[in-house]
Amino acid sequence: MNQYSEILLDHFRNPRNVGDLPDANGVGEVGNEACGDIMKLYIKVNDEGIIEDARFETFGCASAIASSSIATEMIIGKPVEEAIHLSNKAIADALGGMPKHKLHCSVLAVDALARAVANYRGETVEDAPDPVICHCMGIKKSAILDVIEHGIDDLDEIAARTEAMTGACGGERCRPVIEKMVKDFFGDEK
Amino acid sequence: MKRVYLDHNATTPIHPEVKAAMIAAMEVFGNASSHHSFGREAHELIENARKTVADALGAQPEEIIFTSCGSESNNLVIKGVTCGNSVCKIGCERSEVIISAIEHPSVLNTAKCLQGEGKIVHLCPVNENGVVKLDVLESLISDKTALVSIMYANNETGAIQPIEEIANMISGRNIIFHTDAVQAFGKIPINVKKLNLDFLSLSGHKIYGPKGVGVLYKKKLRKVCPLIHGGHHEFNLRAGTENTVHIAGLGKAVELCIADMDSEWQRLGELRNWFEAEVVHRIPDSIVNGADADRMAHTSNISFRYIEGESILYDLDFDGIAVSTGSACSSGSLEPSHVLLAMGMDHGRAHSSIRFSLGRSTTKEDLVCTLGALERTVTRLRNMSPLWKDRIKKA
Repeated sequence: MNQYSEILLDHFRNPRNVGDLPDANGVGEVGNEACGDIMKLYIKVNDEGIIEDARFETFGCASAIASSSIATEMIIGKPVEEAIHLSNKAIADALGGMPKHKLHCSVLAVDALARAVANYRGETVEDAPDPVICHCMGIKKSAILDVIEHGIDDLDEIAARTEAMTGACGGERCRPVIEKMVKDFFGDEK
Repeated sequence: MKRVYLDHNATTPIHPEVKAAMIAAMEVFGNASSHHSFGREAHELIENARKTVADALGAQPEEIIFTSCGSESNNLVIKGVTCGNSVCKIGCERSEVIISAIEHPSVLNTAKCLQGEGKIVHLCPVNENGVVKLDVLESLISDKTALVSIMYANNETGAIQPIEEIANMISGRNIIFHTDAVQAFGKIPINVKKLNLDFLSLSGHKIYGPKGVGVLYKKKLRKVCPLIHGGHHEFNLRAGTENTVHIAGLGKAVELCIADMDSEWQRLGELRNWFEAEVVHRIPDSIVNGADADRMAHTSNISFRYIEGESILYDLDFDGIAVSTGSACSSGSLEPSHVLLAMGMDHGRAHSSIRFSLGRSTTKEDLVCTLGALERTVTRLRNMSPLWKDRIKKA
């Protein structure tokens, strides 16, 4: 059985909205060559705040390309304020599901969108109120803080409750950040 | 759609004569340990196969242990010589094991497991062509060295390792020397006596035999503790009623491989060299990895810069062309191939690598078809890649 759904393979093989957008007013780029994926998303937002058009350029695996492709379809015609709430889960679901170790591709698309919107607004993504902490599983800061604020300081327990640190990299990338969040909340005594 | 299979290092199709030998062996249901005629028939099939394998290696039949696969053979030797109950005195008393940085996971992870039991495991580095650095290896060897395990040829790049030089280096020091020859056996001549090897692993399904059967060659005087304890099968070293059908198939596969080894080496080497020259000529920014090493004739590892290997694999798969990749994205980890990284390659180049492994059925027509598909795939994916766009701008 193919690890990818028919929908995902179709978006890989016949990607929608490939290329750049000369009159884009928001551009977001995430990832790097060493990690094996880079996604660049262009959006053109009109005076009414509607995303009129979107394009992408992606270096990455089949699911990274498919995630980019479907993300552009899901945001075109939407008001920016609505599009910005697009979740990686919605992307994965729209692609007919993704293998767990590929979920970070859908997160990448959401990150690229956040950066494109921030760029359109003249902000940087660091201003984003709720950044993604676990990039493999797409777990946001608020979800992790919610668990910590319930008195949980054990990283395995945080992983079990949020799914953070359970993705492709095994927590290699976000564990130090979450450790710091725990320390910041509980102080040094824990 | 005509399909083209270029993943022979992963596995090979069963040769029709092997299949026939296996079907015939299915009629022989006796337990090879039984003394009646039914048992003797099974015993004879197994011993014939053992003799064929022994002859192919220049070994004695009693030095051939049938296992379930190459991974089991590797586990049996690495765990079996170092196990704590003094079966193998050298392996038990000496504290260090040396393997190369480019071993198959069945050697790499088995050796890592020994670290938990107090052994020190050294990873010998390789040069930019993926060949073990002999000077470093020499510096790692000491009177604490129990086992040196270096693969004969690498599965990803085809780089042939200097096994003879290594054998000479450790000769007379009573160090156990093992080579994982899963990718080399049946394709190049290997004589265990000439090389003075203590152990060698091989596998059936890489040489047009069945999956589920392998061999560990064990030099007569060397000792090894079994992984699977039980009856007296396989000289008390691998318990369990023998897999008569698969062993008979392996015997036939070995016989066939040895028969046309030289002509296949010549034929596949010419095809591979032609293919690589065409790729590099027709596709810009394609680089043959490990090109300057002495390589297996049928293996080619090429990076297509600015695009990612898994996407190349899937795109070629739509055209019916089967290849493999050293990219991380196919394995579920974030790190690309440990072999390519050990060669000092940057992550980007490793992520963009594709392995083409040719075999008995490969024709020039297959490769012509692959070249056309490859050009289309690389162009299509590069047209989506922001890295390629930057590359074009700079040019």
